Amino acid sequence: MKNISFLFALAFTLFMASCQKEEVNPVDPSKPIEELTVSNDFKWITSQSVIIHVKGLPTPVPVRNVLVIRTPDGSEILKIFHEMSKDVTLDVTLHSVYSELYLKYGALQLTSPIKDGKAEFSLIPSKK
Amino acid sequence: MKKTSVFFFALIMMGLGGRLNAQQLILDFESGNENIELANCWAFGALAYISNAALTPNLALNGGWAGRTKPLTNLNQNACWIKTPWILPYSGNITFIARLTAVNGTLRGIRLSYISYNPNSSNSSKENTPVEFYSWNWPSINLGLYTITAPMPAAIANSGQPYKILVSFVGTGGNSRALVDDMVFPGQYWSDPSSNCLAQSVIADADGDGVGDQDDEYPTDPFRAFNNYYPSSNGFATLAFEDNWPNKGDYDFNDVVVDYQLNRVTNSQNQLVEVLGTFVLKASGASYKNGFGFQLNGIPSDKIIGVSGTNLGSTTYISLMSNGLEAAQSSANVIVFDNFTDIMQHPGIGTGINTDPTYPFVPYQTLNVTLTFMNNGTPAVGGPVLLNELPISSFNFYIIVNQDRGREVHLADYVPTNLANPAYFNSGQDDTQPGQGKYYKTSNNLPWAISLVEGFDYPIEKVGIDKAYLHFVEWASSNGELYPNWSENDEGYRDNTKIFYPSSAK
Repeated sequence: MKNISFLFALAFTLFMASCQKEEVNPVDPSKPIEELTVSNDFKWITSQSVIIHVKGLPTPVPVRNVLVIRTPDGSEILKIFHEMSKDVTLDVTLHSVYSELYLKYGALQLTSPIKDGKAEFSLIPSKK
Repeated sequence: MKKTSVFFFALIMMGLGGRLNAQQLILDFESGNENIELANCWAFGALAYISNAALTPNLALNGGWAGRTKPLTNLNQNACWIKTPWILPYSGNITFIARLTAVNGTLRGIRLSYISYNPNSSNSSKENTPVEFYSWNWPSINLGLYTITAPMPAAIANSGQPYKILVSFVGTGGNSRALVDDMVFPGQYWSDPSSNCLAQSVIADADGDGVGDQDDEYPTDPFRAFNNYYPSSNGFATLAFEDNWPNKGDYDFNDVVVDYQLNRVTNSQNQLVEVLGTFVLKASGASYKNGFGFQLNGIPSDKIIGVSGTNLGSTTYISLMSNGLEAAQSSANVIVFDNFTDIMQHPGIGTGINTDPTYPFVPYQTLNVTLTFMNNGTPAVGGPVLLNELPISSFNFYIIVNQDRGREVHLADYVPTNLANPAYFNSGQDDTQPGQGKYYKTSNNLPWAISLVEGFDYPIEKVGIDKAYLHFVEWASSNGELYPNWSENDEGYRDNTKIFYPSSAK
């Protein structure tokens, strides 16, 4: 019984530890800028570049329509005339506060989260 | 007015369970993914795709996949069915193969109906009531394979009007299902998968570029179709530079401050027609005579027909080619202005322009710069440039310090141009390491320039940005994770006494 309790406690502890969010190192806001040391890959810009992959829908005939990428505030940041069956990769720049992007293709409207600088859309519906 | 359709027709497109050749619409289920056919405007009622491998060998139909109904225990034509997309029916035979899955049941049959299109219907599908035109019953309940052949009704064949064909599977008693495959419908695909699967409509396209007028931002210009703004159609981003490179500056980021908006204008082939850059000169907290420009990383100069709208004064340190781009550069370089103070006059007091609120405000000046990539549909000698080949991240902005052409200051980790003087690198506090992709940063990775997509109210003279913006340090130290909106004018975000506002200047 003791062994079971111990194993349960160990499993619970490991589970809780795994759920802890990785925290950003605490920062002393009073530190003057001259004394800062920042990450090698920090770019000193408030925007992010996002690579968008759009998976096309195989169609029996070529279908072309306007594909629009929008930010959550409704701004249109990219617009192309796109053949529906083709996959396409797009590169957009937007404010780093945004965590999702919207795609409009004709009457289709899709949303994708931005993760690791990428957003994925598919013109093939995932559910019936 | 010229009219055209958004559709162009191919003979055969492979890789679909539903296909089309010039005269026939085919459903063979071979995509194995009914979502593809659903998105292509087929519809299924109580019928699913099934792999032939999942069937006993004596039931398998052609290829790898077929359609299978639920048990046929209903005579209602809306119980188990397949509905085609909108087609323009041609004369000929509708054909397909079918068999039952078990030897039980009282009656099994197939009914075919056509559905006409009513664009004025309040029903979102725009479908009229089905009209039955063909009926067939299994002669007995058995496992035999039958080929169904039904002529397209003369009433709709070659009518030039869109119709759907409804194939219904009916029955009573037992629980046997129907398998179906290799469905062929004489006709031309006429649905629009990108517009809620409505029937194709002829769209107005005044300039004939293929983009409908309602989507075309230049509806009467065949050589232009879309605007692609950065950061938005009504917003400006800001570039703010320190000009003491390669030595550290005072981090007030006001030695050159330029707001900008870009519009990449494209045609219906997604080729760049022109880039319209609006540059608003705001401040120069410097005694230097600084220039400003940008490189289009990876875009050779011969891809651009010409540049207009720049302001290059009498100085001779910039050499231009005939198209207005800077000479001796492997990538296209546009020098927007060669001397800030030629455009915005010094107020006659103090060191800089618009950085000290106790001195007179100098009105901002705007330069509208146009880079022409195509002229009436003809690209530059180097060929066309696709929008995708010129993302915003490839605009490499920089200042030229005090008319010393080799002394460029770029945003962090942006490459210098061919004309940068390498002797400056790794002097002063610069710790550029090309092998690591590190440029224009100190050994602790501090920059000489920042870029704000949301615009920027810069600090007053000699006040470090960290003193004006109270969460700047946390933003930078956290690699941008904390306070990504550090520049906003929220409570506790700014010390407004340390920020230059035109309204507070004299």
